[in-house]
Amino acid sequence: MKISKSEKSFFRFSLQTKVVLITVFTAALVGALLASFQIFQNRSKAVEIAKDRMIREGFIIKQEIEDHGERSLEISKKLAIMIRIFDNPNRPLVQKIVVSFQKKNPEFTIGVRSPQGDIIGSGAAGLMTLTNKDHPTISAAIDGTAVTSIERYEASGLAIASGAPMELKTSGPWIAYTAWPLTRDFTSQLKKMVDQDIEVGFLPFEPGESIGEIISTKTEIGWVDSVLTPFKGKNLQNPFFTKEEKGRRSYLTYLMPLTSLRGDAIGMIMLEIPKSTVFSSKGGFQLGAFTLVFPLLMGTLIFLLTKFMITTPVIQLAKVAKTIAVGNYSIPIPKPTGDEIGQLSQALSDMRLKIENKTNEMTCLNSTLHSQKKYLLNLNEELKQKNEYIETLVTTVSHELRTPMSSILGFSELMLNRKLPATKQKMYLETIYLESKRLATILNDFLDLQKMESQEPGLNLEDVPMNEIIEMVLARFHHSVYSNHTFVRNLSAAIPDVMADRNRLFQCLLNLVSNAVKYSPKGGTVTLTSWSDGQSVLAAVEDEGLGIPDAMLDKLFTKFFRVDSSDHREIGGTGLGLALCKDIVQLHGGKIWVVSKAGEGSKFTFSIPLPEMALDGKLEKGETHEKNINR
Amino acid sequence: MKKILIVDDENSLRTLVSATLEGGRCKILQAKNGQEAVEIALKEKPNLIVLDLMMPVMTGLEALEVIRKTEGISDTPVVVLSAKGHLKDREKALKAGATTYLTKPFSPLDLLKIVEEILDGVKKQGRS
Repeated sequence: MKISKSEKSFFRFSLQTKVVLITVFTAALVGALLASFQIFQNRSKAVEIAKDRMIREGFIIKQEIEDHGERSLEISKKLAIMIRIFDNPNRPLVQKIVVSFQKKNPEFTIGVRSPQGDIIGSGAAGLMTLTNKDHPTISAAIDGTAVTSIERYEASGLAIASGAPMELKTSGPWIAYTAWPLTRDFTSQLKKMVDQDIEVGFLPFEPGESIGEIISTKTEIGWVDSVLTPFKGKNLQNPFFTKEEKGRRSYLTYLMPLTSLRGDAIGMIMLEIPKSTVFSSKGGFQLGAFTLVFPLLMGTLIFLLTKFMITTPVIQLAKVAKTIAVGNYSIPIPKPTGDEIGQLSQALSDMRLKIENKTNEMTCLNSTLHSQKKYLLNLNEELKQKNEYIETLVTTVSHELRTPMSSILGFSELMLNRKLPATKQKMYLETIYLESKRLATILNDFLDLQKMESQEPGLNLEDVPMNEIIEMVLARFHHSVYSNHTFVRNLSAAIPDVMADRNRLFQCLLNLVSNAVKYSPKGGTVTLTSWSDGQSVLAAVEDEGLGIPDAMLDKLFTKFFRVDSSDHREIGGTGLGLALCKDIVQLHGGKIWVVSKAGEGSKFTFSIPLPEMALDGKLEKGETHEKNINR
Repeated sequence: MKKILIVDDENSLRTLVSATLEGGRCKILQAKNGQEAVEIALKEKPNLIVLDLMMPVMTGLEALEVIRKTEGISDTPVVVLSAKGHLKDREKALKAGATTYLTKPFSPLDLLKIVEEILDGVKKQGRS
């Protein structure tokens, strides 16, 4: 089903708004129904009241007519019909009264006179009406010789009352109601006298004329508009009906039969009340307090019940669900009740528990994954570095090996293929020898280094006096060979023995002193210092040689690094010596560093921690050692 | 007399190459690094250069690039003699303009043969 625009917008509203709208709509509907019912009831009541009045009115008129008719019959068998209308207290209600008679009824004849009392016409044969000139306000109808009725007139000559001679009423507004057309003046005056609001219908007929049909007459003076005499064929069992006048108002109409003494139907009375008058009477549109208050009370009740039983719990659950959705599981869930909302609440509670468990599980897993990822990334980085290191190492080693091998192979080939003088042969052989030695040294240093960097350094620890090692190294540099250099000892006698591998320590110091000698080709002083700072024993080798440019200091302790200056390449060396020193010192938990300035010499210092410090130092060493391998 | 410039930071290798190529008909020039090589080449306009790659101050590859761009010496045949044995190093050098590429350790007799071929105009293109 297609949802219309308004429905869409209705569904967009919140539950609370929907409940309010539905409540207001329901209350309005109930209110409207109640109001309609009450209006219908009020109208029915008004109609009933009107009917009652009409019946009463009609009955009075009927009585008047029939009473007078009866008496008249008794007197002279000729009757002037007297109708008492205008003193009726309910007069305003009945606005039109029509009395009609069956034609050719010999018992009812109507006399006609002028305002002055002149007899100007008559109905049935034999009727005579005379004017009493001595008493101009009273006239009598005479049939033959007998007076049949006496009528009273105002001074103006307007007939105002009529009746039997014996019952002449002079106080009430009695009117002789004649059926014969009156003169224009008389009719006009009669109209003035009665009431502007009241229409008095006339039935102008002559004997022999039919009055059983609708006769619509509009006189020149305008106050006789219509007459209806549906006596014939009208079902008087249901004397009330609604008469619609074309294009005008509708009337509540009441028909009442007139009967003669013999019980014959002789005519009818028709009373009419405009319906608008009926309904506009007091109470027609008035709504009772109940009609107004009940929908309000009902709406409020529905709203409150819906709010407490449905809206509020649903909103609460929605809030809980939203809170759970953002990961807050501590929010309390309303206690489940027996209804569907309670089931929803229970389901939400179960769901929360499951989500919470799952989330915890996921967090746990995530954390594990995270740490594993970190571990793998680290491992990967380590392996990458190791790989790079190995690649560099292989390239460097192969380069370092290829150079002496080139000399060895090249010179051998030349010697084998060329006839050379003895001097040249000797020179070539010397080169071959030196390069072979260099090759051997590189291999030894490299193997030492690898051994040092492997997990089993194979340290043979013992108590070693640092000064003794220094002396052993210096013994290698005899005056006769190193005549350009002066070796100065600046040794502290008070230093404790260190826990160290004697051979390694010797190798380290030997490398440092060799470097000091090699890199001070013009000679100079090489100073060896030893001292203790209480935590370590330190040794320093200082020369006055070439020094190391600042830019090179960083790489100084890396493998195959040589302070390259082709001028000094003849100095030789494998580029492994300082790397080896660093590894030896670090294996002992110590540190090695250099202070140098190009052209002014260098000072290499290393420390070996004392036994009680060594444990801490080894840890530090372990870390540094690893870094070294990674590089 | 043809001039041959030998460029290597290792003294022993310069000696070896010199001993290989000196036969009386060539004048041997020596340089210890790329920078020296370019300077000497400009000055002496050698007929051939034997060039090491891994050298301080200016590498052989840098020197080769300079030589190839420098008027007067840009056409000089260059025999690269390197410890770098990787294929990519060889390709890099040939791309930079090396006439041929030899790997250390090398055969002095082969080197001599190649140098002679180049000097005689037999060999013009790079050869592995």
